[in-house]
Amino acid sequence: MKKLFIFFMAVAVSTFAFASSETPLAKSILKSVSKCTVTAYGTYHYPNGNNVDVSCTKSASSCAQAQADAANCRDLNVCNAVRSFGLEPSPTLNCPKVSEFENP
Amino acid sequence: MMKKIIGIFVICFLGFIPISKIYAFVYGDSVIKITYKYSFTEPGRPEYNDEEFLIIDGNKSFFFIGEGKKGKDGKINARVSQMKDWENHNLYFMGPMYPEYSLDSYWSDSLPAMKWTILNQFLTINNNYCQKAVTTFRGRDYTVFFAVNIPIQDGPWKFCGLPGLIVMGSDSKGIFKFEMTNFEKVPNEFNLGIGKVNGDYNRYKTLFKKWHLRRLEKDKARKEADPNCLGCGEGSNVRYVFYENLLD
Repeated sequence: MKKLFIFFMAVAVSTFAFASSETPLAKSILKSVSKCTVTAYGTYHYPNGNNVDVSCTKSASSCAQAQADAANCRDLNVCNAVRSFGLEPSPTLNCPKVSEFENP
Repeated sequence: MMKKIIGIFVICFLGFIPISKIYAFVYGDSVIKITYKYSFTEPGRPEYNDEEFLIIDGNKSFFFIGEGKKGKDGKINARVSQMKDWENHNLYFMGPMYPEYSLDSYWSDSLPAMKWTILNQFLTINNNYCQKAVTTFRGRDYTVFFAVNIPIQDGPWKFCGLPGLIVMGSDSKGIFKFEMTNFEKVPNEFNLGIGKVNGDYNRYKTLFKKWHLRRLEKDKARKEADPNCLGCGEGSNVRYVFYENLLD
């Protein structure tokens, strides 16, 4: 019975502490809501064996936006890597078309 | 089997064809296909894996990444990244520098390209009795294991020149790793070759350095022109990792 009382007291005290203080937990949640940073990793393995790291790290107010930006950036880097090798990217990559002058 | 042998002798007798030619026709139309699992790892990043193939056809071997594509003639075409010609002691490697040198541009290198130190350490890998060897090659230290029971002096990429087939290896930083996953004799259904050879390794290295610096300058100019550019602005971490130290 005594043990049960101590347990409930502990629960009550901790709940109060959490509710009344400026908890770091709440702060960290607010931080991540205000800005979300996402990294989209990628490696392009050239047909001659060399590699290019095409990763992108992007921040945005929403995580969905940051994720989309990072993924799009990574895919664009793949397009550039493929083209710089003289290859035409596969249609599945959805690479933006480049004019003769922009072509690396 | 018996029927085949009788058949061969009948053909020889009737057509006065040398038996060696018949043998080449019946049994010589196959190649050795070796599959390697390749992995590229750097700290803090997910591992990248790919499949690479080494096709050994007589005095020549062809190394390429990915399965290749079947052509209209039913043969498999692949972009050969390295070809070793043991008859002429030459190694040819793919080295395009777009747009001056197209994808079909190749360069020659010495064969074997590496000098090995064979160590007295052994390991059994996939039922193959393997021995350890080490080398330092163009900026990286490599450790490999070659199969004593497979007397083929070849391996993936530019690796070769050991008494047995190189079946496993990595560089000292653990960035590049490879391991043989399959070894088979298959019908020669490959249509493999290389394009124009433009020069030797030293010439390639000189030209590549200039070409690569120009590529980096273009990237920098694009970034300066549009700092918010999605593919080249902040957070875009394009970084080139080469097997060989091509930039010193």
